[in-house]
Amino acid sequence: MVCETKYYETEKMFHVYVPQIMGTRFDMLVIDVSREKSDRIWSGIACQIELYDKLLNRFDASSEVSAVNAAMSVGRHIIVCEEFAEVLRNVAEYHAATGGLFDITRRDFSALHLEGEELWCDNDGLDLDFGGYGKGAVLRQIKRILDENAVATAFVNFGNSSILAKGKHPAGDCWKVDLPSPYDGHRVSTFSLTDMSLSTSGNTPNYSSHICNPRTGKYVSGRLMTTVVCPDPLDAEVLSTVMMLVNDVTASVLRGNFPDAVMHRYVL
Amino acid sequence: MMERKEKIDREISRRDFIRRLGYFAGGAAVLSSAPWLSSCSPDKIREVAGERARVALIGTGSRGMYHLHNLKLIPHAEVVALCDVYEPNLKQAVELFPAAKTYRDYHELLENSEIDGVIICTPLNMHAPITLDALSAGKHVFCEKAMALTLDQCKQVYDAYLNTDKALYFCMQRMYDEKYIKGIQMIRDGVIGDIVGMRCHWFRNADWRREVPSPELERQVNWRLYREYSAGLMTELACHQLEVCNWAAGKMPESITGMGDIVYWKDGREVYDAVNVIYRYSDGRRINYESLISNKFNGMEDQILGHAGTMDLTKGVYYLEEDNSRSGIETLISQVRDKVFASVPLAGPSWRPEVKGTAIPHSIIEGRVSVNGGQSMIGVDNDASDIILSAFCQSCITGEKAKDVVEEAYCSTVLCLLGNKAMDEGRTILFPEYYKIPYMKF
Repeated sequence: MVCETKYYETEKMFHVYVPQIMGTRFDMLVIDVSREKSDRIWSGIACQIELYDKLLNRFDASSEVSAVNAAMSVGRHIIVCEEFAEVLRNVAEYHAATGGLFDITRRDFSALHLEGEELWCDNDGLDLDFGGYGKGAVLRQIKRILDENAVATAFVNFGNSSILAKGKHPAGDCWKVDLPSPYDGHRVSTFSLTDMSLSTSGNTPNYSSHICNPRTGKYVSGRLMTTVVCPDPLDAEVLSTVMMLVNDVTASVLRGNFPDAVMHRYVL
Repeated sequence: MMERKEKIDREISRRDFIRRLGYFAGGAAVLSSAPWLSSCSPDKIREVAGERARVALIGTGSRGMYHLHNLKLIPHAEVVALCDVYEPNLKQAVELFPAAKTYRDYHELLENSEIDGVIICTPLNMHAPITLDALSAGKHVFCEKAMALTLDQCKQVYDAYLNTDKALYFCMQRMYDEKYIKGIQMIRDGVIGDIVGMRCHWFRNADWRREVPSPELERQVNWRLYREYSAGLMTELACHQLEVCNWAAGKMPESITGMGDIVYWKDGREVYDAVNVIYRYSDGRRINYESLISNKFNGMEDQILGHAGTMDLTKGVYYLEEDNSRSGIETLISQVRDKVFASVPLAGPSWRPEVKGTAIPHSIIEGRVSVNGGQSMIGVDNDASDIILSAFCQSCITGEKAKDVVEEAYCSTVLCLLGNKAMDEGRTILFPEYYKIPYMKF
């Protein structure tokens, strides 16, 4: 993984930039931590990022998900690695908690079966896509590592769409993040984050209709954007995608199942 | 053992540099923006494996020593002779290469038939005389920039080059610097749109002086300050930057105007310590050049300005006029450093590098980028001086000239000297017909 790191002595601020990972880029600021400790923390985080990239990156032909997608056919039983099986179990929980709207198959999650590390499906043409999950899963691991290392102040930006804000800006009382419209740049909203995650999904002028509704099989079109703020970055990640698919009824169900999450839908 | 390992590492690093630039068989992309790399392609590197160029270095001062340290790490180089008129400098070079023959007169060195090529690191006034003598003596030549002290000397060197089969290099290291090569390629690919101007500056806060052991050596030791030896900031600093501008624009300016003064270092020096020169192309585009050595705040930058973005080649980054894809995190870093609290515009649907137009990474090359802050008088690590020197040693073995290196050095040196002329005469001057060469497009 190619990365650039820089340590600002005066501010005791560590910055790492990864230009290309999981289809996007990654920036992390860790503040009030020594250079040595920052390096150590980054080394642990880098391992997690690489692990999830190896598990879930569909654009990497050697990843676990690519191998699974290539091998999967009706009746064929595949042995997946332990970590991948764990991810699938977690994905199943989100599938249930979102009333089936979060679906990595984008068609029929119920056709996917897992026992231990043995995976099979009874519906041809299923293709697993962890697009609305991977970055959140990595951020959850990063949050865990930062907590374990007693890091109180950090800001992690994973491709703009997934943000983890620990503590507060050194000169302020929170981390303040603007949400510009991808269509005309106007400020849609501003979020004040303290020990919170923010996830955004939506269409853009150059990347429209990319989120599929598993119930209808249709992709969501239009100038729609969603944000979710909640303590757990993976909840935020999953919910921001799901919020692209909800109606008033399902939105209400989601709010019941995820009481810590503040969810918004914007028609731009 | 360590040294051997370091040599191997350096060689691997050089091959990686060429590979990273996409120079595989054919290498059309990289050769279109840096044709001089054809003489050091991966195939050519394999060709010289096991062979060594026997080189001599003339002028063992600070820059000469810098090259000597690099030569120690180039596996296909053998330093067989050293020359300097100043004994203490010669002595320090001998400590590095004790087996090398030593000379005080470069003419005698040139008579040594065991020498394939010479590396010239003398004060500027000696560049042309030694280059011309060395080519006449049948040596390949690597000369520090700039090409020469005067316009006529430049023309003589250029003409001599046309009539020799020997390789001639000038140490225009930006031409071999990965971030510059890739950056120019990106400019040609339209990443920053049409070039609308260029802006280069070099700021330092230092008097440019060196300690003088006895007063009669003042002019020789501090040669950069006196016009008999030096053309000042233009040839010492601007030369590199003007080359980059010509390289990016693919043409030459047709008129030059400027102002030069001794603003701060009024210590008997004869060259300007503050210069502002504007070079104007026939279509109205300009190079704005500025150098000042009594304030270092602005450092050094080579900026190519396009209607859609700015290529900051010194730092290996570029900015798009309508791209805020990464500026949020940079704004946040600045805020933290300046103790300013405000919102940053960085939330949004996922950034995707494959979406052209809205999502172009800012780094010109991946990984860590070596940035020269421009404060060193000698040279910095990883500024590609070692790569061009290695390419020269390779040419000493293969006999192959490096395409366009002399032409680029000629163009930039002539522009430097015309800049001085414009400042000295206080008027706008047109590029003189006599010094035009077929390589130049106006």
